[in-house]
Amino acid sequence: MNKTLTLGIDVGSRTLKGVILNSENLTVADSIVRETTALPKEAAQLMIDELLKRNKLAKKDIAFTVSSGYGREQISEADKTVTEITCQAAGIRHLFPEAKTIIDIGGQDSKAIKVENGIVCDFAMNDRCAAGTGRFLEIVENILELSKDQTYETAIKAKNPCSINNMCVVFAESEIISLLASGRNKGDIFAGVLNSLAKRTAALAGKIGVEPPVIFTGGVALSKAMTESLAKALGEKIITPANPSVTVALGAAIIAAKRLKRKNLQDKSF
Amino acid sequence: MYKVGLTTTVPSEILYAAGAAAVDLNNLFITSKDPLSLCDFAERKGLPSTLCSWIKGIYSVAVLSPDIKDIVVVTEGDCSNARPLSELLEREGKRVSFFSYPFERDKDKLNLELSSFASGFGVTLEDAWKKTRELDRIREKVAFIDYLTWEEGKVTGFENHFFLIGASDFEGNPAEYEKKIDNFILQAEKRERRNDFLRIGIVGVPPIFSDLYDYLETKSARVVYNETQRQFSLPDRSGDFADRYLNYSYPYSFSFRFKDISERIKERRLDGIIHYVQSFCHHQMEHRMLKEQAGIPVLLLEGDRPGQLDERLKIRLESFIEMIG
Repeated sequence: MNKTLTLGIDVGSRTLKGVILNSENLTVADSIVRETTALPKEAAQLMIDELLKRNKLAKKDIAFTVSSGYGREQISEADKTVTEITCQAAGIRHLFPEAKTIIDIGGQDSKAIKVENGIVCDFAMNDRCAAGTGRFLEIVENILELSKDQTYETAIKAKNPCSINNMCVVFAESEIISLLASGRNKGDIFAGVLNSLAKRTAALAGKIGVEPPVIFTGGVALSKAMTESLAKALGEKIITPANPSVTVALGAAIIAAKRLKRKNLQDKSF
Repeated sequence: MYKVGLTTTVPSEILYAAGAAAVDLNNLFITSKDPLSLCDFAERKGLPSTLCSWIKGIYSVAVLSPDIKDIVVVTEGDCSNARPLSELLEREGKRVSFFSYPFERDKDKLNLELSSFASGFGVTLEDAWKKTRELDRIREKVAFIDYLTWEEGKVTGFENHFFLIGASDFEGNPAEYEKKIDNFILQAEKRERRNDFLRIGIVGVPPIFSDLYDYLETKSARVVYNETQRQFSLPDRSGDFADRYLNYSYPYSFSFRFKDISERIKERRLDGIIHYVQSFCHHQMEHRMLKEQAGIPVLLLEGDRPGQLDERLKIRLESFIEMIG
């Protein structure tokens, strides 16, 4: 019997993601998100083992594996590596076939991708620093001592959002500490940070030209507060996938399914 | 021959006619054993970290090369950082002279510049014109290497970059440079023709990375057009002496450069363009114009310090290749 399951792995800078897909009907069998460690290769291996084990599968049950993300070359069982830009487009096409613009804010980078029928036409990535990324937001939340589920409530209470001038993570940290010291409330500071991030992301997206429908994905899309700020900065309605952290891994699993289909056809013709 | 350091290409016929050897300080910097340490040296001497690494490299090799006492600084048509750089170099005891490419491409102004530059080195434009004929023979050979790259598929992107960039100063010794070219052509012509690569053009200043061309080839993409390096070989040699340096597109406006770029896009059947820009460089502002006009996909690639491509840049490049492939 032909094996039908494919595996998509996304070895990101902050988190590792995996998706098992049934290649026949392109339905997700299971997905997983784990934090990365100082040993990403080993951490990815543990994540794959956990995902397989909880689905009572062994490595031999997977017909084709595609790895993506920064650590894509580290996955020894990958049959192919594909960049996260291509995988993201494939994953979003599966969920939102009508998508034209994808904004992906991950742990250490942000990307704007222009797509036409799921094919990448253009893309832009953030500059060579962590400004405007999930890591930046994470640091701000730590300084403000906000848990993830407090951020939205905090931001919507803001009456007079602060202006955050420094987008360098380290300088912004100093600026936020100064604002706290001057008596500004957390809501105004956090809303100010979100506005800065959203403006920066909108400028990045402007490089490729924003065309609706706009899909906002990546780990930062889990933040409702950021989603609203971004929609405001773009002046567009934005759609967020139910599980934005795994859309690259999903795309990798879909590309794996296509590859598998091609491989099976080639095998038959011989 | 005494050496004259250059901050960018100048009409080197004038220098060779004067019995001097032209030394492009950019080439000296990037081919040094440890270019990164030269950037560090410049920063220790007080140059800002937020400054183009080429300027820092030029400064350091000039200061650290006692055999280069004369420097020609190009103050118009290249980087405006060259102006304060000239003052710093003078303070380091270098004899500095200037050359300008008038931004408006006015022939009379350029003629005045050329005459003044030539007389500064004790020669006339007639002397330089005689030298031109000799250097043109080498330029034609370099153009043939370019042809072997884009039409015959026998020369790699890096080899193309390497030989074309040498035309900026004839590596300080035209006869030796010519020999090197002759040997290379003999070897390259015997190679198998390859046309199985995606065809890439690099627009902008020469990339500061050591492994960009090789990395692209590992991803089945080959650079068949190096905009600036090709200009160093003075591809349009029509007209008189001034015409040649009016047709030399590198120092002039983006609009003027783009005429040549658009012709090469068609001629070389490019699949995509990598627009290489240096951090903190004014050329970054030209990206929008290139992207709007190119008619083929354009990737912006920004580099700062010399060295190898990092993972973030590789992801951009690989994604771009996936996109155009």
